[in-house]
Amino acid sequence: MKPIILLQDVWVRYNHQTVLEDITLAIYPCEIVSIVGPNGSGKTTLINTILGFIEPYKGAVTVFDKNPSTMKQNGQIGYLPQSVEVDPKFPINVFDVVSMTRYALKSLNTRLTGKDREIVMQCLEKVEMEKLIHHHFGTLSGGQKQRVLIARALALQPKMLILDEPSTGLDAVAQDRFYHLLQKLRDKEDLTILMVSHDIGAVSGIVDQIACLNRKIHFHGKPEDCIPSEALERVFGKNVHFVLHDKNCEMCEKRR
Amino acid sequence: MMDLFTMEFFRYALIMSVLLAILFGLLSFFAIMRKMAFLGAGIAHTAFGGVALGVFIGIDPFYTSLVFCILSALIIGKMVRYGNISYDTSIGIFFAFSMAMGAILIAMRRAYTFDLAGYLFGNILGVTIFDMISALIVLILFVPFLLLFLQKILFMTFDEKVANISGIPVQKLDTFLLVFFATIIVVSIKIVGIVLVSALVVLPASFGLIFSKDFRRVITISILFTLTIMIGGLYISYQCNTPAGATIVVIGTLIYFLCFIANYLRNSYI
Repeated sequence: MKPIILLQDVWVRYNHQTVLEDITLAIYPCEIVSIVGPNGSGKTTLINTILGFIEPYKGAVTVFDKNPSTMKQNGQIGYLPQSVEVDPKFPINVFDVVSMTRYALKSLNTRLTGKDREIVMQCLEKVEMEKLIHHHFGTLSGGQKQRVLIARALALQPKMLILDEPSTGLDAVAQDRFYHLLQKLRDKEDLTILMVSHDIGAVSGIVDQIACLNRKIHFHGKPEDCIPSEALERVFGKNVHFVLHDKNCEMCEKRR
Repeated sequence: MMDLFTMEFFRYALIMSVLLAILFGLLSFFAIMRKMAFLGAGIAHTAFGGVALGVFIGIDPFYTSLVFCILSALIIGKMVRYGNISYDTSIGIFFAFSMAMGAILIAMRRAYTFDLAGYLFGNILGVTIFDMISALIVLILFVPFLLLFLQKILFMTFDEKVANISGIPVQKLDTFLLVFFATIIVVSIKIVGIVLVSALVVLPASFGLIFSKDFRRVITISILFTLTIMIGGLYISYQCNTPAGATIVVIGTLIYFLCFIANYLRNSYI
């Protein structure tokens, strides 16, 4: 199987400082892959490199077989930013937020067709937000905002979702529901999902692949593989205790 | 009231007010939501450099200030996008430079006496046919631009990075928006002056945001608010013999504050 995203020996530098070093990573269709690492480890830089906002100074990045910095975006990638980037006072309701990506696919500002509206509603139903379509986006809770922004990304009908710290600001229950939704999207929509997180414990139960990043990738494999303690120490530092919620975690299953 | 309409200067002022109300009512929303409110004041001040350049080299200051302001707006936009600095900082640098350069050019052209008061407060009762045609041309270009790209501009205003990833031509639309921003300010500055231009960029959408959480209504309210304060301000300034531009700003600001306080009290006690 061909990878959707392929990074080969990628190096990224900012102001003469190496931020990412020798990154080699392949992401295959219908997988949930999480890049975990502490703050400042280069996770968002890696996402920005994959999205084509940053050119690596060495190495090659291909996304859907193309160089992301030169490819024209055509709705293949849905992106979920950290919710803090969105102005909560913006005068817009839930339906209009999700519709944005349908308008993005049109050449001019033609009206939404019946099919567009249907897709928007379906996406809202997938994230269980269809009852709040007239609500002001800014008044929603953190978890609800995340769901609406996921619906917006889904309304593009992308092949892949990229999520930047999606669990930021969510309480434990909301986090768990959110990760469960991601699994549903992978299984029912055949979506490939790449997310970055600083919380290795929380994501370990739902992802297919995990990459531990701190400037370089110190571990890449399945979460149920035993992550070497030296790799964890190199990524997160010493004196860190991890509780991994694996796929057989009874507590996680009960919460769902 | 009716005898006012028999006066040509008042009719012209009224027509200009309607044109500017639509232009600023539309522009204000994007200026506020894109955190570019200060850009209005910045470009208006920058126009001083353009006017002075026109006076210095003997070209109609309208054209030099138009070119000067468009270039300034584009450079400010690029500095923000690529230079990793804020709008406030780049505008602050630019308009100080432009004012200083204008002062030097005016001083070098000693025979010319610059009408500073006119530049600051404008003269809405001195509207010419050329002014109205200029504003009308900008309106004819700006309204279809917004109608065609409203949702895309809205997306990039809401969330620029995701808009970019979703295929919106963010940089092109941003450039067009900046050019329109500068052009609208240049066609209005001679009539309304720097002080009123700054107010017209900020007040309409701020007022609309008090009353609605829907962008369509905010834009509609912005246009109606601008129409009301401009026509009301014109009438009051005529009746009270006060400067028209300043009267419009004072009325607009008072209405804004009254509604702001009323809304605050309503939210606090109801």
